[in-house]
Amino acid sequence: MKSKILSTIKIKNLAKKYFIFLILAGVIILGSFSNPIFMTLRNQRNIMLDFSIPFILATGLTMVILIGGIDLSIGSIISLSGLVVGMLLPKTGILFAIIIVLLMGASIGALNGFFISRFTILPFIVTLSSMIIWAGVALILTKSIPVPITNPSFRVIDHGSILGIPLPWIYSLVIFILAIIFLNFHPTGRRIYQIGNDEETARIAGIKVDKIKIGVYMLNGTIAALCGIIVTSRMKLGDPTSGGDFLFDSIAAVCLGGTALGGGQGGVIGTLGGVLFMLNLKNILILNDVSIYIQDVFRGAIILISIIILNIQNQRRK
Amino acid sequence: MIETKPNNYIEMQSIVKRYAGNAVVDHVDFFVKRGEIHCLVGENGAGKSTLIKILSGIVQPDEGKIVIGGVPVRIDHPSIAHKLGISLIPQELNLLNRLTVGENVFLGVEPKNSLGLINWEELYRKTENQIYEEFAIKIDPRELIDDLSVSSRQLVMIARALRWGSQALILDEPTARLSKEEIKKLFEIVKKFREKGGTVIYISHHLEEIQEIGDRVTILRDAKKIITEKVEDLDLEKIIGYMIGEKKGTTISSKKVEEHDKTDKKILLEVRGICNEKVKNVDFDVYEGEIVAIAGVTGSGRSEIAKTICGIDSREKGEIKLLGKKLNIRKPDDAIKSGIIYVPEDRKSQGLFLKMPVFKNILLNTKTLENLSKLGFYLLQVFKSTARKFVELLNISIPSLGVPCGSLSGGNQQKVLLGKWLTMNPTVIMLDEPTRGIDVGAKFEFYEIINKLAKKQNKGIVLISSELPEIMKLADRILILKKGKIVNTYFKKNLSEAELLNLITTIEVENAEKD
Repeated sequence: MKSKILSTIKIKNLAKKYFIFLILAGVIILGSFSNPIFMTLRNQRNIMLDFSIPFILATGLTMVILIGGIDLSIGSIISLSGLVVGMLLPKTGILFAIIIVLLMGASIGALNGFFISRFTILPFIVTLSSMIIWAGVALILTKSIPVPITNPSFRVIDHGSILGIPLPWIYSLVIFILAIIFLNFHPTGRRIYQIGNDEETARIAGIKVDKIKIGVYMLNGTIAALCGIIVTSRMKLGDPTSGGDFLFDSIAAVCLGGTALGGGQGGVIGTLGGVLFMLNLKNILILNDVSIYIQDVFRGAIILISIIILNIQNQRRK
Repeated sequence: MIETKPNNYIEMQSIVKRYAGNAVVDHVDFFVKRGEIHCLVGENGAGKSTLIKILSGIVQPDEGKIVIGGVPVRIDHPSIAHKLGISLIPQELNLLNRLTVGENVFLGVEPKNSLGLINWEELYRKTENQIYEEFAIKIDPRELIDDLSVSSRQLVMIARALRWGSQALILDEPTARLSKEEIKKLFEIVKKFREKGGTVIYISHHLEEIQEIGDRVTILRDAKKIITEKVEDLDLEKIIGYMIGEKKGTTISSKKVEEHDKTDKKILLEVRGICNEKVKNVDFDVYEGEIVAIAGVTGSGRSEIAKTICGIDSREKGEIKLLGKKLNIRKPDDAIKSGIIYVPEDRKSQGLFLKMPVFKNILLNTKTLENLSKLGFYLLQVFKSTARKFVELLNISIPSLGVPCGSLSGGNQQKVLLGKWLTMNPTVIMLDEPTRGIDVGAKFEFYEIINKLAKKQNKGIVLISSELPEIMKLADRILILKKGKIVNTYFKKNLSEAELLNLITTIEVENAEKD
């Protein structure tokens, strides 16, 4: 008897935790009614081809939000990384170009983290400034002209595949698994949740809060740089403005996935749902010939409503 | 120079802490032996909280030494206190609410496997066993802290402290939010901890708890240590006497009171059956010209009663009548418009706009603004002259009406706050700790103002205060509040301060149940 009650409570809790998947299912059902093309294999595959970059990016952002922060500079890091890799390729070859760019992303992240933790400036402000600065740097470096990628092997990063599986999916899978193991089983990953719950309590326990914060922002910067590399490989261009849309979609995906902006709860599984939701939503709107501008309004409205619903659930808890 | 006694585990020697020139801890010696339950007792403001904040590394002393186990130490941060084996269990428990019991208990010391990853099975198993063995209670280690009761959360904090290897626990008012059974349970656990050699510093206002569980007690008064003595050598009367500095055994009523014949005065406020989470079925009346004090220990619900009546906290049941007319108060504005105002405890964050000038602070409320404005605009001159009237009435000393409120002294700020509310000509004023943090001179001025408001302007005043001398000076009647219930009402003239303290700190023997 007792176990029956417990399992109903557990199912309820799971439903609350992964509510995004219910919303996702709803969207998919709506989509298939709205347009017959939606549920075709070809369409779904197309959606998934766009999956990797938003997902990898949102995974990094998830960790930043879990620790109680935010990073608005990821779009600019993507742009900057893309064009720097393009500029370096002819001079250093693929491997070194990638390594240097990843280090660059890590450094930008570390800089963000340093100002946020040592100077206790709001993450919003620090990363907003960061966003503007690095976007500016990107434009200066290229004088606004995209850098063409002439190295044919570089294409492999995005276009390559193993046994028919596109490489980006493999990157996503690897990062997903690593993130889950890290956040759920590794002590440092748990520190992220602990700090996000209550920084003071974590400090009292002797946890090195500042170091971990800087580490998380560094990791996120590296991930953003990685995304920049994949984007550039995809477009065969180092475009200084390529980072633009990614920021908003990432934040939306993370929040919809249940990782609250205050930190301390949520995770990458929810983010997975959030990213799938954003992609399917976009696809449905496009298939139904909704103009781009109305698309934006629509997406913004749906995200707002979904977050309100999630918030109400959270309030009821208290 | 005090010598270190060998069986003293914790020694705080001649500790001094000052805030803004005032010593809140004044050369206090606090020695705790290993394996004892040492109670720390004193009225609000006596210095207890600050002293233990110093011991747990939250605050640094200005003077004095701390010696732990014979070794002089500097406790710069709570994590150092933990390394020394001292854990504070504060009133506001610091746990990670969205995480599990197990993760909280093992915070920072999680068991790992050979890959360096956390072994959750082991963590949860050990947590469950630890709690069962040490507390004889079953708590699901996978439950979230958010879903636990207050008493369970407390146990989790204690379990965490034990897992961190604490040998001394500081419990700060642990029973404030616990039921009788939960208190019994807590005592069992504390006693067991002592049996195993643990040391406990126990802070409480509930003196009968001290007698039940304490080995020795240290009494503080006005930032100084008065005495440390074995609990068995002291009785309740003596303890209270030391706490307030009166001679023991006083049962004669103290001051001469302006004789107040209730029967020919109007009744202003009638409160019946007010209920919500913190307030249990409260009834009382306030008559014209009367000062009614609500007395009780921390957490008894004093502010909550006032906040509920004034629409700040939500009211589940109950009736409020003002001058005989029933009121439906659902939000603060309702209370204000009806003529009942609440002057909050925290003037800085709940009452004043510190950056704005004095005259704006006094006049910034909807009623006054409505009265003084024409077609939605106001004349600066009218504003200032109205404000000036109240500045004179309350004797607020300011260089000019335009100075920002933040630059005034505490006493003057409090006067501005009061002025703000007086401009609305209320019928009943509820004052919550009106003279907290104000120097003695300003305090007395305030007492005169409050008396004037009641006796000359015939307002009804509800005074919430933890300073018993203040209540004894001002109140006509005193309501004794315990855990949200008004257990009794006394005329001030029939009580001494010692008796008052006794009343609010001892447990009420409920008629139906008996221990």
